Amino acid sequence: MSLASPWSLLGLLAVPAIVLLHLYRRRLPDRKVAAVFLFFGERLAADAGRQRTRLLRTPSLWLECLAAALLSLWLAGPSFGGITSRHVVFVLDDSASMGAGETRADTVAAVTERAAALASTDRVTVLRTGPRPEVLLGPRALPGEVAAALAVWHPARPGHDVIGALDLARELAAGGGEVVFCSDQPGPLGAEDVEVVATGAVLPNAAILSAQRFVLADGTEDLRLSIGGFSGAERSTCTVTSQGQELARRELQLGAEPARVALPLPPGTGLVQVQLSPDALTIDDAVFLLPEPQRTVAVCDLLPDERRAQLALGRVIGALDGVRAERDPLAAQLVFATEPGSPVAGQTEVVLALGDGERHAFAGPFVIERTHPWLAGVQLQGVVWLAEARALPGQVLVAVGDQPLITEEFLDQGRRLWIDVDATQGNLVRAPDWPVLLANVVDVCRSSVPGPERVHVLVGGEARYRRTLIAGAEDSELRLVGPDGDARAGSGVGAVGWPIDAPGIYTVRGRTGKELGTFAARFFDAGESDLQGRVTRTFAPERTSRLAAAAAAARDTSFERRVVALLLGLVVLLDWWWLQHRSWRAPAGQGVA
Amino acid sequence: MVTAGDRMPNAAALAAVAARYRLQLGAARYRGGFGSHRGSGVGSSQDFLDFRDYAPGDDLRHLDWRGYARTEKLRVRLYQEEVAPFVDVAVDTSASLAVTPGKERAVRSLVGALRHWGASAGVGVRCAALGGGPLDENSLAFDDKATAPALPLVPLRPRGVRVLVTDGLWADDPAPLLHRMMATAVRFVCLQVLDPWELQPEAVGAVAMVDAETGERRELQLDRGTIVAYRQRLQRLCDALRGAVLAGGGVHVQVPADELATMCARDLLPAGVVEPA
Repeated sequence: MSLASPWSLLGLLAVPAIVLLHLYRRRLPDRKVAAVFLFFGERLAADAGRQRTRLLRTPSLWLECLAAALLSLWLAGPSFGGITSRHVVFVLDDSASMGAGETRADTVAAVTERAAALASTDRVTVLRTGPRPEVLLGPRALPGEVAAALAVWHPARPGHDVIGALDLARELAAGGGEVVFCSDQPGPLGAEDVEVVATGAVLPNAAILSAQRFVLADGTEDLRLSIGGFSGAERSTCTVTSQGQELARRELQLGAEPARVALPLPPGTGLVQVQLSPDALTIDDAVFLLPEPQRTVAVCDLLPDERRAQLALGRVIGALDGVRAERDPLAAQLVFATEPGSPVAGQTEVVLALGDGERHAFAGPFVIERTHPWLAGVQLQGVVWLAEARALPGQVLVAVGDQPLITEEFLDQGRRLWIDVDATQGNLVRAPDWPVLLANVVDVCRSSVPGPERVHVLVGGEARYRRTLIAGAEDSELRLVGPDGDARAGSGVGAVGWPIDAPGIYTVRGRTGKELGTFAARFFDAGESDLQGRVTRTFAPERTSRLAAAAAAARDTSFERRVVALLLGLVVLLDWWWLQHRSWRAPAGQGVA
Repeated sequence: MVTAGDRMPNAAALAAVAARYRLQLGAARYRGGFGSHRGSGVGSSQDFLDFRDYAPGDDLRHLDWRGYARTEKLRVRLYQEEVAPFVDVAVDTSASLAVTPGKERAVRSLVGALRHWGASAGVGVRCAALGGGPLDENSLAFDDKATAPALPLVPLRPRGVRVLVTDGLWADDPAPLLHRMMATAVRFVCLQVLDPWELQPEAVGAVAMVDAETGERRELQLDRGTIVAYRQRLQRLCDALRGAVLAGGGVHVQVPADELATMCARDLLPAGVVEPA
């Protein structure tokens, strides 16, 4: 029993309230008279407001205070001693299948019922499973707080391992506590020592297994869907809409193999929503598809024309998609220059240094840092590399003997790639490694283009937005506004990430509230969509301690509650009786409150 | 704290005070048992009443021989009857008479004194509650919640003395009741007992008035204006009661509740209800 529980504290507030009522009640002395009709016509007008009067310690005051105290005691969960408090750790399976049908509501009811049966001296902890287990309530919170914690629990995660959460629960329950795992299926291996309360059910369910906007060679788009039926789901209706207009509606017959839908999208189609007809699990029934934004890399070429021609830059860069020429070096993500400049944040500068020193032709063997993204696929086989014999600053990426050929210089802002090559001779420029190297550099630069790195994210994943890193820019402060309207501030230097825990459309807003980007979050997990094997059953722990069993048996406080309730009723009746009979109990001719 | 002693008179003191007075019956002719007061019929006292013709069986000692000598007609002398008159005491047992300990004690004292006076004079005193049955010393309780008075359930004896002990604070007109009570009585006395607070309330400010009989609660400001209006209404009520009693030939005495000696000397003796023993 603890009077510190919220309901008990609320009940205790009744005591000062009763005292205040007695302090400010209008108390007139009673005067018993033989003929009150002789005083007709001089009724007392009610005063405006009440004045504090002397507190009379009447039986009514004591009885009402006693009733309030008993009420608090009843709310606190009384016990007559000799009982140790329990600590129950509830582990809620946060996988999306818990949202199927009435599973979540049944789980909430089961946990609430168990918490209500606890005394207020007992403590509860509520955990939520996930890649990283989260504490929803506690540790060691009051049982009365469970309902509020469960109200914010909406399971939506893809399938994940729950053992981590169970391990955390075991640690929290160390010292005689109990662990109750609430799921929709039997507990996994390794959970034999915990009680499993399964509230699932095998329900037919259709799910969107994949959805893609496929860009064809002619620039048009196809929408390609894969829809699966689980647990006996035989049919479903797929509706495709865009900007409020229905683009297509298909009646699908679902079988062992997923149903596939392909339909062309009109040019310029914006956000597309694919919606299945309602079924047991709603989270896998809708998908939003955004047009894939073109992340164009701005390239600024500061090379002399002759040098550019020797390096065949125009031909190589022009063959790449998503590249545009930019005259302003500060606005480009990639800069080609012959001398090092001052790269800004997020910028890559390629310095094609060519001095006046002695040239050497290197035919290999070349030492290549293959783990570097710039050098993915670069082989340099059969290449004769003509370079000036000199030292380059930074980390060596490609070298031959003791001669560095490509290095990366680390700067405070941006990156710098040094390439020591004389294109007038040798065959590097004509080798396939040259366009591969430049394409790699462009691709790495593409990740520095401001905006969403990927507009389609999965629930459980992360939405990442790349900033411009310009002081005072709109994206210097970013907030992600979710489908429910909640805004979350982002943090990070280059890219800002937000974990995604629910499907829907998310928008990124800048410092002034301007919309900077959009994410479409979707749920894909066939394992969660398949509700086969879900059960409603309580699995007792296979291993349990005798102390825990004895404590559980001794915690029934219903008898104490009944006794206190009986006392409360008696006190209320006594107070009522006293109030009803106080007039004739008062001595005649004497003022009585 | 009110104790039983505040409500019950001391028996010894009551008897001592009552012994100093007796009930004044006057010259009226009553009915009653054998006694010493002149009755309304023919009896065997020494007081001559009338003559009538002789009838066989009459006592020859009462023949008027002188008249026979003059008129040669046999006539007998009739003498006044001597009776102990019936005294019926009707007590208003409504809760209003016990509204204060002093008022209840005064009523009990008066009823006890009437019993004492009847016993000492040899008259038959019978007490009964208004609307109720006979009362003795132990059964007198002021718990009647009825708002309208009624005759006692015990029949009142004709041509006797009837005493009504009440406070007369009835909302209804008392004239019908009083008319029936006085109809066959030779002497009727109405003792209207009122508490001093009822006659002269104090201005105590806001107060909750609780009716002793109905329990009605009325919160009011007991100030001078309220008291003046109250006293006017009380005066009209008392005047109506007095008028009804006097109209029937009875005696009305307003008795402020007090000690028996004070009530006898101050109120009953001047009104001719009692006389020194």
